[in-house]
Amino acid sequence: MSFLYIALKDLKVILRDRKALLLLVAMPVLLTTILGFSLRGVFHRGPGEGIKKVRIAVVEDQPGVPAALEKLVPAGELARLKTAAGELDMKKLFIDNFLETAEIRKLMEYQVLDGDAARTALADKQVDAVVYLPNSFAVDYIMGKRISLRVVSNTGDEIKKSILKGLLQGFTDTLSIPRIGISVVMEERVYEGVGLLDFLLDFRGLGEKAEKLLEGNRGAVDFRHFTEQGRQEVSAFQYYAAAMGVMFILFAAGYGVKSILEEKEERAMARLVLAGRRKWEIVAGKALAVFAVSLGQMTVMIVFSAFALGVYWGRDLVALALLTITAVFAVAGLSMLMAAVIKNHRGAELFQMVAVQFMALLGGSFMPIYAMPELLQSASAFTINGLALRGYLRLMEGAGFSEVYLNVLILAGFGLAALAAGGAALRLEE
Amino acid sequence: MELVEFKNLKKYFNGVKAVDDVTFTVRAGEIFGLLGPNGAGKSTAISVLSTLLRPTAGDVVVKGKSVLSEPAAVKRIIGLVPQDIALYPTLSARENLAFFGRMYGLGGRELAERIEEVLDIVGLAGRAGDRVETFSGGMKRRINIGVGLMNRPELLILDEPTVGIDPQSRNHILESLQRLNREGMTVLYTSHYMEEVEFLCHRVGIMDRGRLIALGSQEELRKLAGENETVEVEAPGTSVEAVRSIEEIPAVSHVVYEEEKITILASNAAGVLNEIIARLSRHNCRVRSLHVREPNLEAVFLQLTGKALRD
Repeated sequence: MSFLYIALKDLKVILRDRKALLLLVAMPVLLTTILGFSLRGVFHRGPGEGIKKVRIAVVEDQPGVPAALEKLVPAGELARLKTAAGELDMKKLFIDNFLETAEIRKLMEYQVLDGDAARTALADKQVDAVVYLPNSFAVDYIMGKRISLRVVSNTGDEIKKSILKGLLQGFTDTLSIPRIGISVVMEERVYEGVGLLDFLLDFRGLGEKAEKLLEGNRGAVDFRHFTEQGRQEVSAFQYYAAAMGVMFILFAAGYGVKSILEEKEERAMARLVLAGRRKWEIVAGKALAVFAVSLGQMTVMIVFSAFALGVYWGRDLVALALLTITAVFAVAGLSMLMAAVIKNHRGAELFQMVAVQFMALLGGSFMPIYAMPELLQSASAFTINGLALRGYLRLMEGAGFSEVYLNVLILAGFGLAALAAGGAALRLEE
Repeated sequence: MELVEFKNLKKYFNGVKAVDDVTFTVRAGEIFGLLGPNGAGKSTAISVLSTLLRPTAGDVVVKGKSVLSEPAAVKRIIGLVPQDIALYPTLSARENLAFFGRMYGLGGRELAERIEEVLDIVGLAGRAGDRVETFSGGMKRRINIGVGLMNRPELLILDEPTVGIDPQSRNHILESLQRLNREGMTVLYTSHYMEEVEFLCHRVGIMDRGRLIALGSQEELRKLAGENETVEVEAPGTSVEAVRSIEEIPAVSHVVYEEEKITILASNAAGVLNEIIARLSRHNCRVRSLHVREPNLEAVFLQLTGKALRD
């Protein structure tokens, strides 16, 4: 029971500390509101909401049948080949069946330019990127090769880059993957020695087939890169509600560290030891206080953002609760680990000022995870806040527990390991 | 009957001898004073007694229980009042007492009654609901002592409990300790304030640089100073030459100059006052005040160590 009294005392102390309450509760709520309003255009693509579209210039390389293929085809069949290649109009497919679709128009605007004009537009930043449609498209498609687009971009906006990359990859994948099997069949026909030419020249209706392919796979193409199939998009309010929440619970860990160090320095800890309290009781009480404060912070954030800002935290409330509990448990463990490592009050201040900010930056609390360079994106998964944030974003996109259980397990595991290591290493008296 | 036995206690920190082979006893029912300047090893010695530090060598036995083999039993006997204000400033006096009382395993009616008793002892019943952060330094010290009393200890250990407080609070604390002692509580009191130890303690141990250099009743200790009396001269700006010239007076055995005050240990002090003033005048020293004190613990310390207790 002693650990409960220790936790209650710590809670009472922190609830009477106005500065702490301002930092731990008011600041994240305030920042979420400010960032949500100021960055909503970047995140949310709801109807009627103006967003910064990705502007591209489309340049068509000179179409035609490459000389290499002409050599393969008997002279009499060349006309058939050219007719078939003509049907496979890359420009038409890319513009009519892709860029002109309603979903893509929300994200991108385009203009068709020649090479020089496109280069000028790119240099003048009138467009964010130039997409070159390859002249080998028809042949690659017929031969079952992977379709690729050449893209030159001139924007530092990682979000735009990410959108462009995702959409174009979706387009090329849709056209490439079903045709790749063709090359295998062709090789088999070569060995059989029969019907290769007929197979190769069976071009009738290829253009129509490609259009249907794009039509049929539009759902997969459009938002594949960043929302995956059938996912809801995350708004700025949603992102920053989760990002600020997981960032500011790290400050609770800092308060836990400071509390332990202060009690050691001022000998209150000595009194607890002298009163016969065992180390595990003190560590459990201290960790429980950090846990309760962090849980309170996240609860305030979730309730406030849901009711005041209309933030949707996902359909799976059990998963939301489990993710939250394990995230704050990990924070409590981190606090005990840091209290064992940090030797004085100044160290605790540094932890809050430097280490927490660094983790917040790395974990995606300041800027969206997918807007960070790839190396940092990978590194963010190794921070408590990054791991929790990724889980929250998945839930907000509509995922269930099955897709965040790994985050929950890792956070719980880290919390347990940190609590055990911190508890073992913590010295109550110097 | 001995309540506490320090047995050849040694405590070293990285080779530094904080406590060096100290042996003495504290008798049940007495107020024992541990006197010495800052850094003498007093706090380290009582930290070992409180089981908060393990000795490098030797042992401390409390009521037959060794701090090494039965620390839990020792903890139940003692109450510690650390030099720092080991309280939670944003909690009230009552909340602080209640929290530490619960840590000692008290609860319910027993806890409530003990809180009221302790508030009476420390004279803060009227401010029990106020946050400690609103208290004066002296009131904080009194609650600090109150926490040490929550478990009704047989032995109360106080480490410099009056540092930085007003005379009124100091008197209250000293009188409270005398009352507790009359009721049967043994007190181990460390201080570098000679006056407090002289006022309060039945027996005194004097420590310097980790060693116990004298032990006994105040009368016994004063004899160590012999016929020597202490002359205290307040003379700002005294030069080294002036101090040396006083040392050359035949009746003077020790001279210490610090914080604008010259402390002189001399036999037949009254007979050398004129000579002291004359020599200071020759060195253009401005004498503000001059006092002759009878042999006291300050004189003993000066006699034994050649330096003042304030060092």
